[in-house]
Amino acid sequence: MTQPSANPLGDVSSIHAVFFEETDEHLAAIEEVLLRLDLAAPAAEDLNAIFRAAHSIKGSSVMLGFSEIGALTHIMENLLDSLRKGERALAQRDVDVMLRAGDVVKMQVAFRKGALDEPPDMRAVETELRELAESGARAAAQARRYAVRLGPLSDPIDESELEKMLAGLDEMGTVLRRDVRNFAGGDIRFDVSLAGAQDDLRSVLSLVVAPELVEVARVDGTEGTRVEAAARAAEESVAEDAGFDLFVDPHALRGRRASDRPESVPGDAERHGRRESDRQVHGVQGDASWIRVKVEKIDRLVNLVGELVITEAMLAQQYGNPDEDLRQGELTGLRDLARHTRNLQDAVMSIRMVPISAVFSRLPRLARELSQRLGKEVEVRISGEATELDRSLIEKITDPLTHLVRNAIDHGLETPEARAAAGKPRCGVVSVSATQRGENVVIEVRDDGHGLDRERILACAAERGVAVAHGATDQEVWQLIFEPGFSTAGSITEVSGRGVGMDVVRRNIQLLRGNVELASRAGEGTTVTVSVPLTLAIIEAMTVAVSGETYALPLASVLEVRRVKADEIRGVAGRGLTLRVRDDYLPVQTLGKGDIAVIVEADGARAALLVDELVGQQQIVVKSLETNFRRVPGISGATIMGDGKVALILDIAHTVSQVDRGSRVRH
Amino acid sequence: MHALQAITNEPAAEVAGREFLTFRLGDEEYGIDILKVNEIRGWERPTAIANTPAFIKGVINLRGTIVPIVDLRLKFRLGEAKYDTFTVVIIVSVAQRVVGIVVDAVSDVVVLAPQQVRPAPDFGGALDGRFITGLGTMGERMLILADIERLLASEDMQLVGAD
Repeated sequence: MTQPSANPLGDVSSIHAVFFEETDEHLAAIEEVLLRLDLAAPAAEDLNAIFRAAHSIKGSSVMLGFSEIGALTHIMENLLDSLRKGERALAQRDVDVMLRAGDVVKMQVAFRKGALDEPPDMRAVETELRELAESGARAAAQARRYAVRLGPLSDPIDESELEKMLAGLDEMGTVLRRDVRNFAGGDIRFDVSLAGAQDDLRSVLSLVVAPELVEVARVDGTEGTRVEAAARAAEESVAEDAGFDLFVDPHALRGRRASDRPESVPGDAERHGRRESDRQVHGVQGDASWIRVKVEKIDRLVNLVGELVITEAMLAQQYGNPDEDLRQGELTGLRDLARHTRNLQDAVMSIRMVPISAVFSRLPRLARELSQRLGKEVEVRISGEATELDRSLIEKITDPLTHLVRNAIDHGLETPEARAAAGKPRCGVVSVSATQRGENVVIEVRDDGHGLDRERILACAAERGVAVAHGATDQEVWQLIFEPGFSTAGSITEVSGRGVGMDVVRRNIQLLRGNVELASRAGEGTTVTVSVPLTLAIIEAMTVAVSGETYALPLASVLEVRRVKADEIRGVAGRGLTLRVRDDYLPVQTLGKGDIAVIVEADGARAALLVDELVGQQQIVVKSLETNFRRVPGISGATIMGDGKVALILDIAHTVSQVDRGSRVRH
Repeated sequence: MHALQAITNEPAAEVAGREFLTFRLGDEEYGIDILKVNEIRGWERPTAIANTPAFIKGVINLRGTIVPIVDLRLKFRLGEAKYDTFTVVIIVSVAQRVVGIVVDAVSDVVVLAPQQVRPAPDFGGALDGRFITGLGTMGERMLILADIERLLASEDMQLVGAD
């Protein structure tokens, strides 16, 4: 009887899990690169990145017996190989077919994971891929002309060797236009026309000079030397990786290699920087139970824990020491302890932080498919994708953000004809950016379309019986589109305009304790600004006492705190109490019996909460009530205070909406 | 009816030699599967939660996790809900949750052999018959064996959210 564990790979299921995750990452990388490829002049580094990813998938899948994935990625590799060798020019169709191949592999992975009931049909894509790959190979069979440069030479090459090499080349093709400067520091240049594969040419040349001194460029090629050099570097690295990504982090390898290469040109560094950020991105996709963490972050944790241990030992030694002088150290020790815990907290939090590119990277493809369907021309500009956000937020922000981009393309941008008529470039621009501002991340989705249509929104509001004050400002009118079910889309398209729209976006963002703002100018476009906290795990809070219990209020929603006199609070018939704050009458929610009013704001609405006492302001760690209990209306979570007691965190949005119901002052 | 079904579905052998933690609720003595019990703690005042029924006393901090406390005496209107130094909280793990239950007094841990367990008649105890898996006899003592997991997860405990 063979035990299942007798498998030489050990526990296969965990290896499969790693494979699935890595494949998802590689596929995401492929897609991202494919979408940014410049059809006219694809960057060699990009083609290589796709090649590497496809190659990694192939290697691992074959090893694990997922032969259908291996077969497809193998053909994809062939296609990429012929593309990067410049055997044929990159066409839109290549990109399309490769994107589809990626989708099919994704589905196949899902099927293998058990998330899909049937395997996808891979044949159609496979046939198309093969066709494309072979058309490249056919083109390669025709004679082409290469410019060859050997050098700079450190020593002259032996004349007879050189003769032999040239004679060898003459057998393969025709050598033209020689320029031999055979001395130290010189080089040898010639053109050669041949029908054989470029690799053969290279191997012949390598017999005479070291491979790194060989430079070959297609004379009629597009990217010339750079393509070749980069392709070569990639090939070497692929050879080293040899599909064993499963056991060695390929990114770590790549990163090391990049720094090992002293001759890296400045542009290279930039490209590696981007890779670096890409890398973290992909850790996010796939199963939520995995996270990839940079080694530096872990090292930092280890160091901090070390410091903590030392401080603890120091404190223990000093504690109760009769020597007064030594006891002075206790204070220092405590201060150190506070500092180290704070640093440790930051370091731990940073592990959960992932770049927002995890979300952004999906947008170009979305835009591309959408614009094709809608017959619009769109360019998506992305910036600030390295901005880091808590992992849990990244997951939750994906849908709202996707929705905003979809809206921008569907509703915001005009058709190319309409744009041309309005004197704008035919191709619309949707820019998505992220920046960190203090404890928040601000994400902006901006389009240069026709802007919001004030009249239409007002008409829509009238139709739905929503009262709008006469002479409402634009800002007030824009708020209407956040109303549930509000849609101004002239026609309900397949894409959007079903009325599940901005209200859902806003609600989802508010659940993350963020907010959404809108700005628009007729004819110039619309900007939606979403602001979310960096993390949900720790927040700055104000603590208050209400009938003997401590409550925490997220500081972000607290506007001001003031003591109120009894006569400042007035009853409004049938609408509860109001408090006059400067020129406004705010609804009042009486939590306690005290005279402290905490003015809070959520969803653009304000309210005054009466509490017994102000306790303080501190950072709190947010804990879920739902882990062992359930959701309680008005409570967004719980935290543990310094004395070990539990304090509940008030859900300000809910509280405000409760007090505010029906009492919103209409102008 | 339900109880009988539960018993017939669950062969007596499964209850064989099982250990039960016994506690009192009013005049009745209950037994729950010891494997569901994490620990027994003294009473500490929990943080009250508004908009919850009175028998949910609130939440406590159990070494960093937020744990709800349910007073079964209030829930079943048994005994006097006094809170003093003798009040105990049984922390149980049920349905992937950790919950603290307040009872009158914890007695002991008993081992019941299969022959000591009888199917529960459809009787009108404080506990709904659905949550009773059998009756255990130990000399003069009669233990009501409760399925604490089903009890706490049941809708009328309001411990588990609808969503």
